[in-house]
Amino acid sequence: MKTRIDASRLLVWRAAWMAAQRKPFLNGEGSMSKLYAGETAVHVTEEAIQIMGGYGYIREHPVERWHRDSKIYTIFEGTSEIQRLIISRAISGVHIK
Amino acid sequence: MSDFSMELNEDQLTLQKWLHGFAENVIRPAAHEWDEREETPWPIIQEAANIGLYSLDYFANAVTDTTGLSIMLTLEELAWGDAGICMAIMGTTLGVAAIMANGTPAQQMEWIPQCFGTPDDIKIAAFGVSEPDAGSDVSSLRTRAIYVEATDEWVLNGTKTWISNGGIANVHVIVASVDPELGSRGQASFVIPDGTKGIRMGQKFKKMGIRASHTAEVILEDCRIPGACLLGGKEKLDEKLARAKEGKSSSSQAAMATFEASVLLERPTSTRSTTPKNARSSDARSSKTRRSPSNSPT
Repeated sequence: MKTRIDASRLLVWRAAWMAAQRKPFLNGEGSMSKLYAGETAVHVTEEAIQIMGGYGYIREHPVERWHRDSKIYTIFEGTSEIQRLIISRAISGVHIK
Repeated sequence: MSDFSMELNEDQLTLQKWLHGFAENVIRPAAHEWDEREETPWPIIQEAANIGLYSLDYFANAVTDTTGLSIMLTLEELAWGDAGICMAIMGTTLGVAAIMANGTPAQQMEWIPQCFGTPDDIKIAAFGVSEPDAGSDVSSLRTRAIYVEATDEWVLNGTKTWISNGGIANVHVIVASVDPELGSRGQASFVIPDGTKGIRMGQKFKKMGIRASHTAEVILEDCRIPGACLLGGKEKLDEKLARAKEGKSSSSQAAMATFEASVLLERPTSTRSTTPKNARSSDARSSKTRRSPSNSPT
């Protein structure tokens, strides 16, 4: 979980830095960061529920909410599928539909 | 120009600590309540405005940070507090970003301050692209914008869906099709000023998560706005449409060729220079002539 969170932050910070330097995302670096960080949020919050067992599942604790909240990140502002499409187009140079 | 670094500078560390304090002391304690209430957490946005976090100044400073990290730190810390409240605070920036990306300097000066308002009179903005039949496929938007030359007005009709702050925002930025035949190249962005007739909230959605963030449909029915509300201006749009019409048949190919060229320039050792045909013939050769890895000198 920690590894994925750190990897997400690395990808996000790289993309943000590239954007600030006006470097073009030739390999879909922006999409990579959105895709990976979003899916990481879903993954780690699900694991967190599992670790806490029944306590993670009940609404008395915030963990179930974190998991419900996280799912939006694979959907809004470009779904995971769209991010993969953008990366595929960027690295192949083919306008994949 | 800043080098890439995972080491935050003094200013960023101070900023991070300040944001974390707000997330810990104001957002987290309120998270459960607003998740249950499923509505915009105005008192929290008010507190964010009071400390200067929800403000034009904060946003302007963050986007001009040459390391690019201020916005990321903001989002990470606020979302640590609560993802829904984070979205309620940051939802405005979606509309603001659209104005920044497409508006003339004069339009930016006019509209961006109106998206935030002031601590005494808070405003919020919304950005509408998605439609019931065009979520990810933004090239097939049905919302139409038609120009009325006689009155220098645009008339918008259509339905937007899943819009953060939709229908309750003071400023809506709406993407609409001016020339549907041109797909996404026939689209433009429009500012719908506060108090405009013909724009209203449709269904407000109940959601799985980020419930503190208001999400709703936005319905545009003969929504008339001044010509000046077209982001980027008419002249620029007309040029864009003319270019799109000219290049309609060959543009995708041209874009690809340019892209290929830039990729190859960027990475001269690209393996792409090996065509599939060459690859196959070398594979065929290799079975007889190439030594297996175990025989290679190490």
